[in-house]
Amino acid sequence: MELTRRDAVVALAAIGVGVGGGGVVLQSGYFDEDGVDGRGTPDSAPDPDVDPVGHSLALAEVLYPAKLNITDEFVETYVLARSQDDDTYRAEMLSGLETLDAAAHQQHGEGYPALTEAERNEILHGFGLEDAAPNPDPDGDLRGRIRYYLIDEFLYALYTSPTGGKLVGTENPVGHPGGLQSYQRGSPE
Amino acid sequence: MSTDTAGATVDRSPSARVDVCVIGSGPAGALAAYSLASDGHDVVIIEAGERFEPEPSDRRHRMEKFLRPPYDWADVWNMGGQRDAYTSSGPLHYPLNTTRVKGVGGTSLHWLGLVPRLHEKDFEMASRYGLGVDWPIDYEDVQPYYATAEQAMGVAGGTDNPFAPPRAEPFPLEPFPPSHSDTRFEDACETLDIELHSIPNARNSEPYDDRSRCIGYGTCDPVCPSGAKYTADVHVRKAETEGARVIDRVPVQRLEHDSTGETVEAAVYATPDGATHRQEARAFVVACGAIETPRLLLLSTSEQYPDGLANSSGVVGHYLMEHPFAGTFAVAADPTRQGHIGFMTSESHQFYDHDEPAPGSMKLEFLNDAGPDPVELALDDGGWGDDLLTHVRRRYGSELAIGALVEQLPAYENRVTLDHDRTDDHGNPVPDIHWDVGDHAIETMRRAHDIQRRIYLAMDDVRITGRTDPRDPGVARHPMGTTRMGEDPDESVVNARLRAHDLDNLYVASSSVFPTGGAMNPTLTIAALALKAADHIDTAL
Repeated sequence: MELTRRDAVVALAAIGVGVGGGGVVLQSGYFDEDGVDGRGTPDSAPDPDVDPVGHSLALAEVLYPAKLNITDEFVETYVLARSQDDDTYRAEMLSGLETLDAAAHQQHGEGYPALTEAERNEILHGFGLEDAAPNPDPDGDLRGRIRYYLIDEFLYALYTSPTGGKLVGTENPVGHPGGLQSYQRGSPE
Repeated sequence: MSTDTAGATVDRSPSARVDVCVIGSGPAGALAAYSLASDGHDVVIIEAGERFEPEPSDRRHRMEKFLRPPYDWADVWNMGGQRDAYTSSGPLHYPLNTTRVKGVGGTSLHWLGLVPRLHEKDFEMASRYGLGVDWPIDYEDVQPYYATAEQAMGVAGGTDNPFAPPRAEPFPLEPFPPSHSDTRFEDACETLDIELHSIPNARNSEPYDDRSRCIGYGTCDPVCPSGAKYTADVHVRKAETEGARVIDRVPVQRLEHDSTGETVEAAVYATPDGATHRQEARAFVVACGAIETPRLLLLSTSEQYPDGLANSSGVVGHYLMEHPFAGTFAVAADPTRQGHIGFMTSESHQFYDHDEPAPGSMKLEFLNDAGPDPVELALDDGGWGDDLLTHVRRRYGSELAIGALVEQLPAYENRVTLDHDRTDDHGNPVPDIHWDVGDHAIETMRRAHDIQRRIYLAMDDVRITGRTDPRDPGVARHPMGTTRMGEDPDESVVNARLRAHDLDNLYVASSSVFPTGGAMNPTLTIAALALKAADHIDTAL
C-alpha cells in the first residue's frame, strides 16, 4: 500500500487546506525566513541542515505502519501545503524537526534522517512523546508541542484518509468525505 | 460602532424603532425573522454570540478541532468561559455548554439534524392519560407549520413509517437508504415483530437550496463541513435578503417595558466594548432556547414584575424537561461498518403511542456511529507505527448501539433559576439548572432497555457489553418547557398564540414553550411554532 500525493491532497482537503492547482512547488528559501514565531529564541535562524520534507519523511516512516510505502510526494504535498496555510504550524513543525535533529546529532553524530528506523523511534521515546497523549498542549512545553504539531498531525492525516481507514477496515473513516455509498455496503468494495 | 476581534469596525448601534426585534438566531429566531421580513416587516435580529464563517474550509477546520485532542466539543463553536458560565445544582449534572451554542445559527450549528414530528398524543397527555398537562393547541393546529418547516429546512423523509402522525404534504427530499447495520437490526426485529422505518433528517440527500448533498464526513454533530446538514444561519441570511438586520456579539441584558407594564419597549444589549444600547421595537420575540429564554425574563425585573418579566404566574423557569437517553451497546463478531455517516437512517416509533399511562413514549434509534473512531483511537493511545495500527484494528469496527429517547413528565422542581453567587462576563447572575430524571422516565427507560436487549439476543454472534443507567442517564440536549404555553395565566407564561399572557407585544419562539416534551427531537416543532408565532405577530402588527 502506498501513500501518494493524491492521499495528501485528500487529507488536506478534508482539513480545509487547498493545494495549488498544477502541483505543489517546493519554494526554495521558503523555510529560510524567521519562522520560529517568537518562541524560544526569536533571533535564531532555522537550522539549514533540516530539510522539512526529508526530515518529515524520516519521521513519517516511524509513525506510520511498516507496510505503508510513503512516497516523497505525499510528504512534500502535505507538509508544504499545511505550512503555507498556517504560520504557526510551519514554525512549530520546523521547531520540532530541529529538536529531533539536534537529539540525533547529540546521540548518534548524524542527522535524524540518517539514523536507522529503530534509532529514530528511540529518539521519539526519549522525549516521552507517548506520554504526551491523549491531551497534548499545543501552547505548552516542548514535548506537548512536538506531539501536537508533528506526531498527532501525521497520525490525523493517515487515520482520516481512505488509505489509513482501509488499514483498519473502513474506506470512509470519520473525517473523510467518502460519500453516501459506503455506509450501505457490508464491506469495502 | 464597535470593533470585532479581527479589529474591523462593525456597526452594532441599534436601529431606529423597528417592527420586530428577534432575540436569538437559532432555528426559532431565524425562521421567525425570515417569515416576518418576507411579510414586509422591519426586523432586527440580536444575537449574543458571533457570526461564524459559513465557508466549508472554516467548518473543516472546526471538524479537525473536534477530532483532535486536546480540543473537545465545546471548542468547536467557542463555547465556555465566563460568558457561558452556569451552575448545575440538581441531583444530576446538566451539561449546559455541550447542549447549546451561542452564535448565528444557534444550537443548530452543532445539532444532529433529526426532525420527526410530535404525535397527537403529545398534545393531550392530561386528557388521555391523566399525566402532565394538555397543550392549548393540538397537532392539527401545528400540522401546516410542520410542512412549511420541512420545506424550509430541506427534510429528507419517507412514507414507510406506519406509526407516523398524519401528514398532507410529501417530504421535499427522498429519505436516506438504510445502512448496513440497519439491515442487520431489521432482520432481528422482524423475528420480534418490531418494525423499522426511515427517520426524517434535515440533511440533503440530494442538492437542495444551493447546498450540497451529504458527502459523508461523519461528524454531523458537532459540525457538518459540507453544509448538507441544515443550520439556521441559512435563514438568517435569507432574512437579510428580505431586509432584516443582524447584530452579533451583543447579548441582551434585559428587556424594558413601559409604565403600564403591558408593553415591552426595548431590548437592552451590550456591545463588545462594554457599552449598552436600547433596541426599540413594536414587538419582541425571545428565541434564546429553553435555558436563556427564562433567564432573560428572570433578569428583567421591575416594580411591576419583581419575579421577572412576564412571570406573574411564577412558573418562568419551571417545568424544565429533557429527553433522557437509554442505550444498550454490543459488539459483533464481524465488521459493523460504523462511522461512515454520523446520523441515523432507521428508527422505530412502534413504542411511541401507548394505551396505558406508563411506560411512556419512546423512540428507538439504531446508531450508525457506535463505538470509537479510528482517528480517536489513534490519537488517544500515545503510540505509533505497527503497535498503534494493531491497537486501532483491535478496537474499531465491531461495535453496535441501539438508543432510545424517552419522555419525561413536566415537574415543577426541574427548573432554571438565577445563581446570584456567580456572574457572567457582564455581571449578570448565571443560570442555575436543577434537573432530575423522575420515575416515569426511569420506568420508560427500563422498558427501552428490555426491548433493546431482546433485539440483540435475536441477532447472531452479538454480545451485549453495557447499557446506560436509568437513574443517571445522559440527556439528548433537548431542554424544553421553561416558559410553557397554556390557557391559564396562573399556570403558564404564553398563550396559544405564543404571546406572553402579561404583555401585549412579547412573544416566545423556543422549546421553552412546550407544555410536554414527548420523546421526539424537538427542532421541527420549535421551527413550526416559530413560524406560527410569526403569523400571529404579522396579524397583530
